[in-house]
Amino acid sequence: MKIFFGIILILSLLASIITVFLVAPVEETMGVVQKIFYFHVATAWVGFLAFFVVFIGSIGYLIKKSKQWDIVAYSSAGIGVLFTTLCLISGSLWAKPAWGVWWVWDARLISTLVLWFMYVAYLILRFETEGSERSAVFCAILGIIGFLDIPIVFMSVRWWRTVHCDLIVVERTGLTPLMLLALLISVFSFTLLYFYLLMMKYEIEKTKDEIASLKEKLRE
Amino acid sequence: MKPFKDLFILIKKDILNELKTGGALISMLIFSLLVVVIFSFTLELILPKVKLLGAVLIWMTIIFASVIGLNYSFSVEKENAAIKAVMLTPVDRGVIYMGKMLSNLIFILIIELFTVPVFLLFSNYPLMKVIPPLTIILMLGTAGISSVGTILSAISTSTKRRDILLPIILFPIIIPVLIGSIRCTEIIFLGRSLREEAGNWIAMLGAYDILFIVVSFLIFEFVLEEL
Repeated sequence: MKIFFGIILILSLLASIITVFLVAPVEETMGVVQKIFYFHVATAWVGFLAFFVVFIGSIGYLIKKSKQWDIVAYSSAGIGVLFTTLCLISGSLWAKPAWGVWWVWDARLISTLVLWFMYVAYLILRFETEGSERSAVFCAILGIIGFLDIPIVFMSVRWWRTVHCDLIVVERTGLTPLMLLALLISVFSFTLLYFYLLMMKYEIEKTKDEIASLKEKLRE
Repeated sequence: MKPFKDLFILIKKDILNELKTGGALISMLIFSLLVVVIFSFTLELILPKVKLLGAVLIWMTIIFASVIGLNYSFSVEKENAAIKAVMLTPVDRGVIYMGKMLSNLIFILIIELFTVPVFLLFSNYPLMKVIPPLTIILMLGTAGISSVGTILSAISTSTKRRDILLPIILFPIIIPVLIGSIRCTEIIFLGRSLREEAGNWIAMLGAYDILFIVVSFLIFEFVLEEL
């Protein structure tokens, strides 16, 4: 099952690389650099998806109090931070040739950065409380509060910074059907990658947990 | 009206404790006055138009002072396991949250009561014109800080490096409060009308306060069990 999933994942990632670099046309004004866009959007999407899963896992844990939900939330938070980091880096790499600077205080960029800080804080809280029963509860609380905060952050940052709001939208409207295809395939393959990583991370954490409880038994 | 009576007793307990032990309030006050003074005179040297930065300075001072107060509010409860005694009383867990949240709110507002006028005086703002609308914004913004701050400080005080952890988990969450309050304060300082220009910001601040007070009220019992 896992191997089967792995093969599909590799194939879809290959398909996305092929469509992005060979099938999708080169953008006229920005040239080859615009190819970052396909992966940039995909990483941003996976980041949001991952944080949504953290939220679901956190609620699940508080209701059921079962360890599995907590492991899902924690694993997803780690992957979410990873993809948000990649999103910020790829965005920055794209911004340099497109806007002439590495960073702009644009609404979307600020929100993503705030999101990154929020979930890095989640991981730090996890690290600080590790090994105790508290860890799961505290992180679940932060996972819920943090996710509920995201729409407010987005809205308020947008009001704060209405100036360059539509820079990205302008480019998005200029997509040809083939570009759209490449975008969809890369978003799809990154989503698969997310679930694959989540599955792996879940198994690792679960094994860690089992080892810890076995050690506990041995000590007794 | 038992919950309200309970609430009143809980707040009274925090205030009495503060008065008897001389807790964090004096330190918070001196700290925030220091920050205001240092900001005001150092920036005066660099920027002649320091007034434009006023909104940012006020709110930065408030969040730093709040972190000190919030950190203190639960670490004092953890000493001698005082919180366990509170939990043993027949009081709803949500009411314990409300009590802590309101006493934190009161303490931070007391700090603002001293710090903000001092800042306004130093920078020569028109006091009578600025203070009435500013009071509303201070209330709304501080309620936002203490709504999330109370539950997060309960969490952070149970960890090893608790003093540094609270700002790390709190600041990203209160960014909407911070920018909303700063924008409103800026509008007040520029002498413009809040009602005309900041309606959506005030609505956002109010919604934030209500949302996080309700959510924290509901989930606080999970935190209390782990303290």
